[in-house]
Amino acid sequence: MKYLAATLRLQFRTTLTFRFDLAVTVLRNVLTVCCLFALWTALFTGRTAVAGIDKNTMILYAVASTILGVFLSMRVENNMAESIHKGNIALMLARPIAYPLSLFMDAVANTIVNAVTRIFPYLIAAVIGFCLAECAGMRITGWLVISIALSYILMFLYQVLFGSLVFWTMDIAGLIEYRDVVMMLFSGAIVPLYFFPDWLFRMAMFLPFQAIYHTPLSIMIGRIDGSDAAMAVGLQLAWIVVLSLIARLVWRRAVRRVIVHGG
Amino acid sequence: MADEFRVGPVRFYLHTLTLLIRQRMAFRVNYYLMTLSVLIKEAAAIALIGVILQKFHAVAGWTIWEIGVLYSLMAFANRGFYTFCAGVLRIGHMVESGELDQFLVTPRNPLFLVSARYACAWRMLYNCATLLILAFCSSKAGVEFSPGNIALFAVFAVSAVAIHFAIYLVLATVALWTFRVSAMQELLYQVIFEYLRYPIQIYGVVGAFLLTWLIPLAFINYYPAATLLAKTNDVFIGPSLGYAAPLVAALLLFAAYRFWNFGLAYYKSSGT
Amino acid sequence: MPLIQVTDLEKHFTITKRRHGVAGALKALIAPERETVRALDGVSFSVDPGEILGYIGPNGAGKSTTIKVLTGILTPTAGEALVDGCRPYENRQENAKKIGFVFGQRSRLWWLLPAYDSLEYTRSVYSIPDDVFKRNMQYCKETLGLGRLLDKPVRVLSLGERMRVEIAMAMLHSPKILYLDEPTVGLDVVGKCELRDMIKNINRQYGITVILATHDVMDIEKLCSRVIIIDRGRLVWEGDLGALRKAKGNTRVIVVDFASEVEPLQMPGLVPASTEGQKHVYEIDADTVDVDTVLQALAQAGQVLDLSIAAPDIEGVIREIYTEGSLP
Repeated sequence: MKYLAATLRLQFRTTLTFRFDLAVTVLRNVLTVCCLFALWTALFTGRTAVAGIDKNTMILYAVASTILGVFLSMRVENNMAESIHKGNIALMLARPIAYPLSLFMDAVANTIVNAVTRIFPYLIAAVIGFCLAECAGMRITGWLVISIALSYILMFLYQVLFGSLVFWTMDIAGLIEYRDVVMMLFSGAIVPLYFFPDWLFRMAMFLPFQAIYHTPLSIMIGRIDGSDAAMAVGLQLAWIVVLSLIARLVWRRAVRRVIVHGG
Repeated sequence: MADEFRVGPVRFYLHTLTLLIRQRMAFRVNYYLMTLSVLIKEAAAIALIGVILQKFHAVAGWTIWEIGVLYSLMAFANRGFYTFCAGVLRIGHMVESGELDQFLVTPRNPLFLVSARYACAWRMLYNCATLLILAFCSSKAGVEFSPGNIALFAVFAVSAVAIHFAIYLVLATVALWTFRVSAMQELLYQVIFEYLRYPIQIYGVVGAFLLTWLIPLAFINYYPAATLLAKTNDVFIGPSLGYAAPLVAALLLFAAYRFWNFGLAYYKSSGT
Repeated sequence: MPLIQVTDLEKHFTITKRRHGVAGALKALIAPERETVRALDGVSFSVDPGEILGYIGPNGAGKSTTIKVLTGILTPTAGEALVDGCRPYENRQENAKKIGFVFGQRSRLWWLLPAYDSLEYTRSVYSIPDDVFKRNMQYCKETLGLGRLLDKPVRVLSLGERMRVEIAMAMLHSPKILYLDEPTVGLDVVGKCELRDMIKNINRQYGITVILATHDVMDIEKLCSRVIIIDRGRLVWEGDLGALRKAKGNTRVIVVDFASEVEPLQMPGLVPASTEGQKHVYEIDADTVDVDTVLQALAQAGQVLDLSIAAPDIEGVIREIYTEGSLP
């Protein structure tokens, strides 16, 4: 826990030193929310609801998705790639704290800093601007909280998996591009999966990405509740199990590779 | 006799670009992979918009193919900027690290030197991918591929790159006073890449006005697209405003350059 | 006619004070404090063509500020600097053609490409005609030993090799003046030696005036004909190498090994530096007392096993200049 406190302190200080950056980040966040609002308002002109979602719900979805995105942004992959490139991965593995655990701590610390510097402005913009009325449609339930927590873990595992691949490919930039595309298309972060044509929707449901964004967001707008929510969360859990097994396998092979080939 | 010999700016610039491309070619496999990923990413972005639009049919009167033209024009201009003069983005960082000084101790224009030295010339290939998508969307949107239109497109492309350069130059000049403008640069990039991909009238009269007259980013892709698509309705102010794009670019460039020289004089008198 | 003439150069900066900690950063946001720093406070000196001038000073003394003024990057607050008859900060590009520079830590090389490409690039930057380029390349290959380095990518070159390429880059356009900022930093003993020899050769063969800003005392000893010491924006010492050695007065250091314990010697002009048992170290002020007299006294004090006399080291002199502010 000392490690967590130290990392937190360092990250806070670095963020506050660049005060102008902070102001600009707030501005960016506000603008993003405005843009989403403008876009969906324009799209919904002349319509009340599409695929069972009305304008206000959609705006809620979009803003919540952005906030969730910030919450889930972690630099795990980049950290790993950096360590590998710099060659101190061997050092990292020898540390008293297990490497994956330290990565997780870094991620959590980063998230906490983010919460203050980025999520907070978003929330302010959202609340002040647009969601005051729309929040009526928002459902904050226990399932939602669990779902978001599971999303976080899932995202972390996903990144560890990808980060491990760097041991083989040595360059993460290209891979990230491809992964981003898939995430963008199938996670429901940018476009709710409900807008997809049927066949695409069914395909998306088979993939793990929807468990990261689609599930918690659907719970939040009240599209899934009760037993449906339970099932969706269960699916998230299932994906976590699957992904952690794969990640573990890949990680073991990666560590073995480090030992064989040297840092 | 030796005084008459001069490597002109064009030749020097081409030399720099050649070196930049050769430098990048060391990572050949990754380079081609990245080019492919750019193509896929752009196609995916447009596909997503397409998904939305198959349920909603149009954004402020612009169909999916018209949006495709809008988007790829923006991406093309943005990538063109990176390809030919991205060095201007680095100026802020160089002021901090002191790297800028070495460019001031040479007999060439320091802005020219820096912009060329850190340009991303290898991105030219990415731009080919974007060009493909632009061509595809244009044909689906009903744009005629006449020599007139192609010439018009070339003009629009050049002025779009110039507008990019001018605006980033303003930020770089501000960096001479305050160092850290990377946040502003990111904001600008966000505005260009995320907000300019949709017709600006969705941002209301205020937003569209800002993007047209205050920070004329809309002249990068919106008005040129309206002109090329010969759109008569659903265009803020009017489609013929596209023809004003080169003029706007020239004015911005002139103003930005004057500002830069002013900032440079300040930098010389105050140091780091 | 001096090549460089600096008169009463002054340069003031206004800086905003930074505060520590999280609370400090927030406070600085609302109420920033400013103060004026006099980086240069009336500096005057001149440099003749063909000299190698050593420019020393502690960090923050004003070394880089002076060089920035001389290279045209900075405009002085007061005073004047003339390089080859014109003010570099008013005619930046003209001045740039006559000077070359190597700024120690900041490399100008194209990292991933062969060294030759960096030189060709420089040629393009400075518009060097073919014949001049070929000639200078030949000279550089000879004096800097570049032969086999040119085809290798810069990233595989050692630091010493990279410095040599940088110096070649600086010389390619036949400049009159070469500004070197800490060129030997980070090199091993052999590397430093070689680089110094090369700089000396360049100066001797082509008559290029060299301004060497450095912390390395050996650089000064081996290379410089004249030395300028700057501290807190002021010139605290100026003169040639010999004068620097004598700056601490005409002192000598004697180290004596006695066969048995001896009492420390007392004599005017003789300062015991350390007198532990059998090994004594004395500083002699050669103006006050004869070395001869001291030696006789030592021989009488006890049986001398070993003895050495040395001139004071320049580093000590410089250190004293730094700490005392200046010498009489």
